[in-house]
Amino acid sequence: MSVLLECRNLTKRFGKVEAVSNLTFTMGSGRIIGLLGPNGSGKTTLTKMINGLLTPTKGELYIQGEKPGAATHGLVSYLPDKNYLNKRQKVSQVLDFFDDFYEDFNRRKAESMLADLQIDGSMSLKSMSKGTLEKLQLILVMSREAKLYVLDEPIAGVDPAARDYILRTIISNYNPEATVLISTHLIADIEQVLDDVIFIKQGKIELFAPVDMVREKEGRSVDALFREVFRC
Amino acid sequence: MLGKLFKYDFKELGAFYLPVYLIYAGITAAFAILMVLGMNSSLQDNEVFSLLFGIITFVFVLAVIAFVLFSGLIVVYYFYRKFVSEEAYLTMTLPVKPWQHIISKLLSSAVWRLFTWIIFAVSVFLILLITGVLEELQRGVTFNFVFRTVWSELRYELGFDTGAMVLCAVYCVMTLLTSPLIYFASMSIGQMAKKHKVLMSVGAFVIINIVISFLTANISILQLQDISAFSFLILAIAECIITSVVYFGITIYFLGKELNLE
Repeated sequence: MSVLLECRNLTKRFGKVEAVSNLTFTMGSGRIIGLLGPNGSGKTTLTKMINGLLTPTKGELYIQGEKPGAATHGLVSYLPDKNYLNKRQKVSQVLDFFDDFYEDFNRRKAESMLADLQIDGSMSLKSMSKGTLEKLQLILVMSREAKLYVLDEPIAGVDPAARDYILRTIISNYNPEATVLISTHLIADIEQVLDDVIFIKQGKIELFAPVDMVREKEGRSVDALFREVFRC
Repeated sequence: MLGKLFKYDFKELGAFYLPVYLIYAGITAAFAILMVLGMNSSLQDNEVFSLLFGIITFVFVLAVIAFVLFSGLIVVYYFYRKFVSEEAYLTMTLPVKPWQHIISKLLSSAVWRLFTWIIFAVSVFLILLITGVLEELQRGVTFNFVFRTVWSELRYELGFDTGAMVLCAVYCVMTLLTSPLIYFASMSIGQMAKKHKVLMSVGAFVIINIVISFLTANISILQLQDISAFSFLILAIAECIITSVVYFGITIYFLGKELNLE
């Protein structure tokens, strides 16, 4: 298994607050990994550093041996927890945009998934509901044949039916040689799809292990363990 | 990648500029029509016509000011949308280097701002054509005469030889391409703020201007009066290059290393 992502003593400070503190770990390819922690634990800070949206205060981060930048943006497919598309565009124009800039974008797959949701190419993003917009963003991200998918809170703020759809889309559409990193605090919904889990608390890694090993060793679900580790 | 970026930036900026052009063209046409009608002596004494003409003149003057201002504001707003608002999550994760983003915005906005100035010049020309110039033409004053007079003034009174004219053209093109950079630099500093990013951008703009004014304070007008137009333009071009490089560097640094999307 090749090393896809490597962090060495990765630290990010905002003023006096260390959002992420001395993270050192590696991620291989072909895994679905849950980055689990409560609000403010450092999940989004880490996902932003992976995508070059934040610069580390100390330490290093490499994606396939390269620091985050234009080259790694072509390897990483990122779904932030924001509506980040240009709302002045139509769906077909957004597809053109992704097709133009991402060599690994599979337009046919995207169009097929959009057709399943009855999202037509002529629809304007301005006319879409928040939920539909989130599904569109997810489809665009999962339609790339990327090496690393980074999904920041993909199921927060959506109804249970939408959550099932999102998880099914993730599982059935990602590149099997790639890794999917799902950052969330909704463990119970996502546990069944995970291969590995990372528990992050106050910017530090408390646990990084395969889900099966955690269940076997702890004799309970990851959700139950999470509630204990992060008990208020 | 630069070509693709330019294509999308050009189209998106067009979505802002084209409606502004249409509105301005409509107001200019209304003003021109009323001016032509106003040359009819029977209407000149009509109170309703005079009131209407006064309103349209006022609106036209506002339109000219707004047209020129919007030309620059659109570029500033576009930069804000792409690098400071939520669209920055998409912009900054494209497989594109930061300098390519900036160059694309500069090139695409330069084309639209050039169109703006051409449209403005055409509208002024049309208004002059309809009013005083027509009367002058009736008295035998030709465009050729006006052009020769202006050229003579530039050449002999201000020392504008052919070389200076070429440098002047170069300076105009450079300014067209690089003038948004000070705003880009200011906003790239301002986006670091947790709250009030716009206010911080304005603050950065003021400080940058103060610093530049302080650094160029020694080059006084009195000293410049002794040099030729050619030498003056060389200095102006040099200043443009130096400040553009500095602003470009500031923009790339703060967007690359100090990006704050929250």
